[in-house]
Order: sequence, then C-alpha cells, then structure tokens
Amino acid sequence: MRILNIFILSVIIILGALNKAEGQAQQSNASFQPLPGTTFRWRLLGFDEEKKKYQVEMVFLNTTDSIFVFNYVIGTNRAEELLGRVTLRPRGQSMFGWLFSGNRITNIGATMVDIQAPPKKLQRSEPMQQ
Amino acid sequence: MESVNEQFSHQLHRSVLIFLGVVIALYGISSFFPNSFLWGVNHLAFLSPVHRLIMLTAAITLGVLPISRRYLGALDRWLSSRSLTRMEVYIVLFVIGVIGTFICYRFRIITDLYGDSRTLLSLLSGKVYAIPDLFNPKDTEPLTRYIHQMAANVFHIDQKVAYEIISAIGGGLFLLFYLLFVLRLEGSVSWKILLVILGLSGGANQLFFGHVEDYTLVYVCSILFLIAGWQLFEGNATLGTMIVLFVVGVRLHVQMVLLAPALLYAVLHHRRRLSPKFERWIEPKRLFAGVALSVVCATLAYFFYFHADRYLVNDQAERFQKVFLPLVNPLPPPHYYTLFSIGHLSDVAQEFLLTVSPVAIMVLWLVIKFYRRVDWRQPRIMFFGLAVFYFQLFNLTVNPLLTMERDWDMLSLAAAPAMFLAIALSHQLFEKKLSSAEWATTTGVALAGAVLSCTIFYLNTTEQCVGSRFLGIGKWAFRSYYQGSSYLINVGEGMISDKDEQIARGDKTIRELLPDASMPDFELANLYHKMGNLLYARKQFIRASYYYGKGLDNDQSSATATKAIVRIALQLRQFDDASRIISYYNESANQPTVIDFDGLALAQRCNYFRYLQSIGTDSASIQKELDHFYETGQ
Repeated sequence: MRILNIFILSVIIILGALNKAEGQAQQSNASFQPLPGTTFRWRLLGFDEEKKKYQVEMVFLNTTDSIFVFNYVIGTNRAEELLGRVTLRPRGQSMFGWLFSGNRITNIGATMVDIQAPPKKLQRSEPMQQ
Repeated sequence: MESVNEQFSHQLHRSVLIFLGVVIALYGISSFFPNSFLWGVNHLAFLSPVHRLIMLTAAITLGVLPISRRYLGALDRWLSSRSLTRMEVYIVLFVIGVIGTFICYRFRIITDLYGDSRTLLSLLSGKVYAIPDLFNPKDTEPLTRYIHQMAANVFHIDQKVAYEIISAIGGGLFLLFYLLFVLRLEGSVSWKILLVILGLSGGANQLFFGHVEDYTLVYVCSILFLIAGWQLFEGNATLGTMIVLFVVGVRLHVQMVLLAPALLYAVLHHRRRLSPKFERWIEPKRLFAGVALSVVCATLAYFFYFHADRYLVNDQAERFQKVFLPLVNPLPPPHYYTLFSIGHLSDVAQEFLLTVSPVAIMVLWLVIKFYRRVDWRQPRIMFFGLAVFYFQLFNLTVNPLLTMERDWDMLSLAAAPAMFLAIALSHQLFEKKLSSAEWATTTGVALAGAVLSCTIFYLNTTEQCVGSRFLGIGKWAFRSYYQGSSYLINVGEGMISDKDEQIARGDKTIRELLPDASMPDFELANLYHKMGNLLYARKQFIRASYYYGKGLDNDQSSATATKAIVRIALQLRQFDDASRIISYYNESANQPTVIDFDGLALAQRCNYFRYLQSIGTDSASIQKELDHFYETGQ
C-alpha cells in the first residue's frame, strides 16, 4: 500500500513538473545574451491570418545598473532581418514586436554604442525645502 | 340645442386655429435652433431658407379655411361618389401597398446610425438563428432576426439589404391593413380622410423606410393587434387573433409585452358576456386600482430588482444591466441626466412629437378643451388608454443607451397605441357632429401639421441634411444625455465631403461645447481624437498632435491617441521621444499579457528609425521610409 502511495505521489510530482516545464516553454521560447549584462527573450504570440505571418514578441533586458545603448540585428529561420537601436535603462527592459514569415529567431547580433554610468542616487541627508 | 352646437363650432374653430398657430410657430421658431432641445420638431432647420419658407407657406395655405374647404370638399365629393365592389377595394389596396413598398424602398434612410444597425449586423454575422432560439426567453427579439436571416439566406442577399427590403414591405403591409381598417369603419368620408392623414404622417413610419433594426415587424404586429382590438369592441370575435398576434409580437420584440394589460382588459371585457363576475373587474375604479398596483410593483422592481435608482460606475455594462434611468447620476451638470431631470423630460416630449402624428396630437389637444364630451368609460377608450399608458411609462423610464435621439426607433412603438387612442377619441369627439366647414378646418389644420412633420422623411434621404441633423442632435445630446453624443457629432461631421470644412466645423463644435465640458470629458476626448485623425490624414502633424494631446488630457487611457502621438513624433523625426512614449505605453498596456500587438510593432518601428539615424542614413532615404510608414502604417 505504501509503495502504491509513493508511486501515485511520484506520478503526480513528475506530471506536475512536466506541466510546469511545458508552461514555461510556451511562455518563453528561447533566450539569448547578445551583450554582457543583457538578455534577449522572444516568444510567438500567434499567427496573423490576414498577413499570413507570425506575431513575435521580443524583449531586451538589462541586468546591470548601467544604461546601455546598442544597435541590433535579429534573424529568423526564413532569413529575415530586423534592425533597430534600443536604449536600456538600469535593470530596465524594452519590448517590441514584429511580423515574421519564419516562426523562430535563429540569431541575434548586437553592437554596443554607448554605456553610461548609473545615475547618482538622491542625497536625502537634508530635508527638502518647501 | 342649436346654440350649444354653435358654441361648440365656435370653440372648435378657435381651438383648431390656435393649434395651427402653435404648430407653425413651433416648427418655424425651432428651425432657427438646430442644436436645441427641440430636436423632435426642428426638421426645417436642416433645409435651405427658401425650402423652409416654402414648407411653412404650404402648411399655412393648406390649413387656412377658404382653401382647405375647396380641396377637401372636392376630395370628399370625389370619394363619396365612388362605389367599389369588395374585390375592387382589395385590388386597389393591394396596388397601394405595392406602390407604398416601392416608395419606402426608393426613399430609404440614407444612414445606418439610427438605432443600433451596425451592432445588429455584426451580431447577425456571428450567429445563425434557428427554431429553438425562438423559445429562448433570454433572447428579446429572436423571431425578427430569424425572419431576416432566413430571407437573406433564401434570396442570397446581404443581411442589410434583407432588413431594408422587409422594412419597406412592412410599410406596404401597414398601408394595406390600415387603409382597409379605415375603409371598414362606420363613419363619414371626412372623418376617414382625417384618419388617413393621421396614419400616414406619424414619424414612427420612418421604420418603414428601409430602417435596419428590429422594430419594424413588431410595429406592424402591434398595429394589427390594435386593429383587432378595435374590431373586438365593435362586437367581432377577434380575441383569438389578438392573443396570437400578442404571442408572435412578444417574440418579434419583447417590448410588445407592454400591450399585456390592454390584452388582459380585452379578455376580461370579452369574458363578461359569459360570466357577470368579470364585469366588476373592468369597472373604472378597479381598473384604476389595478393600474396603481402595477405601478407600485414596477416601482419596487425599479428599486429592489433592477437597483436602477443609483448608478455607481455609469459605464455601458451598468446602464445595460439596470435598464432604467437612475434617480441619481454620478456625472455633473449639464450631463446630470436622470429620470426627473429637465433634459430627460424634454427629450420624452420631443420623442413624442417626433414619432406621433401631429393629427393625433391635435386630437389630444382638442380633448383637453372638450374633455366633457368624451365618454372616458367607453371600453375602447380604456383599452387604448391602457396601451398608451404603459408604453409612455416605459418611454419615460427606460435608459436610452444610444441617446434618446438615436433610439427613436425603440421608443417609436408607443406611437401605435397613441394613434389608435386618437382614432377612438376623434370618433367620439367629431363623428356625426361636425359640419362640412368644421371638417374642412380640422382636416386642413391636420394636413398642415402633417406636411411639416413629414419633412423628416425627406431629411433622412439626403446626406447633407442627415449630417447637419446629426450634428445638431449630437450637440444637444452632449448637453443632456451625454454618453454617445460624440459619436453622433463625429458621424454628422463625417458627412461633410470637403475635408477642410470638416476640420473647420469640428474645431468650431469643440469650442461651442467647451463651456459645458467636464474634466476629464470622455466625449470631448473622442471629438479631439477625430480632429487629430483628420489633421493627420492631411499631414498637418503639429496641429494633429495638439488635438491628440487634448484628447489624452481628457482620456488618459486612450491607446489610439497615444499611438497616434508616437506616429506623429516619428513623422517629425523626434525618434527618441517616440521611442520613450511607446516604451511607456507597452509597459503599461502589454504587461504581463500582450493585448495590443500594434504597440509592440510600433516600438520596433521607432527602434528602426533610431537605427537609421544612428548609422548616418541620408535624409531622403529616411523620408522615403517615413512616407512608406505613413502610407501603410508599418
């Protein structure tokens, strides 16, 4: 009886883990690190029946306290290219999207244009003047 | 006795001529106020001054006794000299019905803004009605939709065209049955001429002019029900027909249920022949008590079932759910539109003037003067009185979700019982009591009112007139019911073909409405937005950005206005600003779930233009890309 209970529990745990993993896979199809301190994630949102193209959501994330300005080029499995320039705030992100014939981002290249130091924090030693 | 008749004749002449004066003054004065509360009678305001003058002169000419005596006398003599067999009458009426159908279709309403035609058509494109739907109590008008959808499928025509054709056929059927009813009445030819004018001049007849909504068939059904009701009180066995028409009518549109008290009265009146105990139930005192009890029940339902006395959010869902107008409205004046606000009471009166025939109004006017001559206990008067009371109570209390001006079609069903009450009253008041001169005066004045009232049919066929009328009623709606007024104004301005004039008119309208605006004002936001769109289409980006900005001041949640400002920033080559705005937008609108992919695509466009600028692309190439973006939006 105990073995049966352990077996059922194991099955539930494994199925739960698989389900969670599948859910995560749907949430984010893939991620890249185009530059040190940045992450690029993308996912398919759906298919535009009218334009016969895939809607792809893309996000650049900044994991540092610096301001990044860089140019990017994104490629798909249908050899499409998307160009752009993005500015990322400290710990910030930039969302954008596009319609692609391809359904997978295969490569991403980035060229750093500028790195700025993080903005100084406000000094609060003295009360503010009204 | 002779002196009494002379006195009646004198009073009748005076009352009728005063009515003519009031009608001419009302239509004449209101023609100078296209944006006023007089939207039920200011039809002449949308005609040219020459046409206004012609219409007023025609009305006065038709109403003046020496002239009316001539043409009505001739018509009376001509009709009296005709004697047709029953078959000939049917053939003539059939031909009139066919011609009426053709006229209604030929001169159909040019706009689909009246009522909720657009929503109806999109609803029908997404749902196929079947027989089981006819028995679904939650569906308020399944039979009407089933019939129209079936007609569209059988004849392979567009859904909208099916509605237009059936609406016109409804007009033909109305003519056929109403004229047959009038012909069969016991009475003089003069009285019947008056009744024909009464039937033809009601503003509710707009329903027959290719109107795309669910009210035409139920209106025809209610007319047939009321004809059967008249026949019942003449001693004919039409109760079964009335019950069948009632059941069919309720499935055509639920508003038919307002005739239930009248039907109940008819049933009790009919049963009293079989059992005397029913007699006491239709005594006026008990009837009055019954009506009072029903009003108390309705009041309790208003407070405790619908919770309609107070609106909390005042959004579309709450207004739809609570059905009736509130006693308290969260909006400030002049948008404080409640059950007893002056604006609403005025709108109810205008709705009555718009949809009910001026002949019926004239009869009601004369009844006030000669109320002692009316036997109010007559069963027919009680039957039609009950029908009028419940319809008018509904019109008074219901929340017209599209504004009273647009929802005239839903509220026009009340015109049918009002018309029949006027027939019953005129039967008591005039029949066999008037001399030819009195008939000429009364009918002449009735015709004068009818001519002015029927101008609405002409207005509906002319784009320019409809556009101006929408603009006028939209401005009044902004100052009263408020919600949905900007839509009326925008459609009205959209009918102006010259874009520059459209912009100038739009700017003027906003300036006119500003003193009455709230802060924030969502209706005004829509007007600003429309102005922005017009100017963007004319590539006047700076001016467009001003209007979009003002729109956002009034409605900060407007996604389209925000994105429009981003597009303008791109066209003005302020790529960094555009990028910042769209990033802010996407972070608030598209997180954690993407609900607006256009926002993301626009962000990529901003990134792309920033990239082009950063790599030193020449100005001409950037402009080419911007032009492509302007044309395609991508």
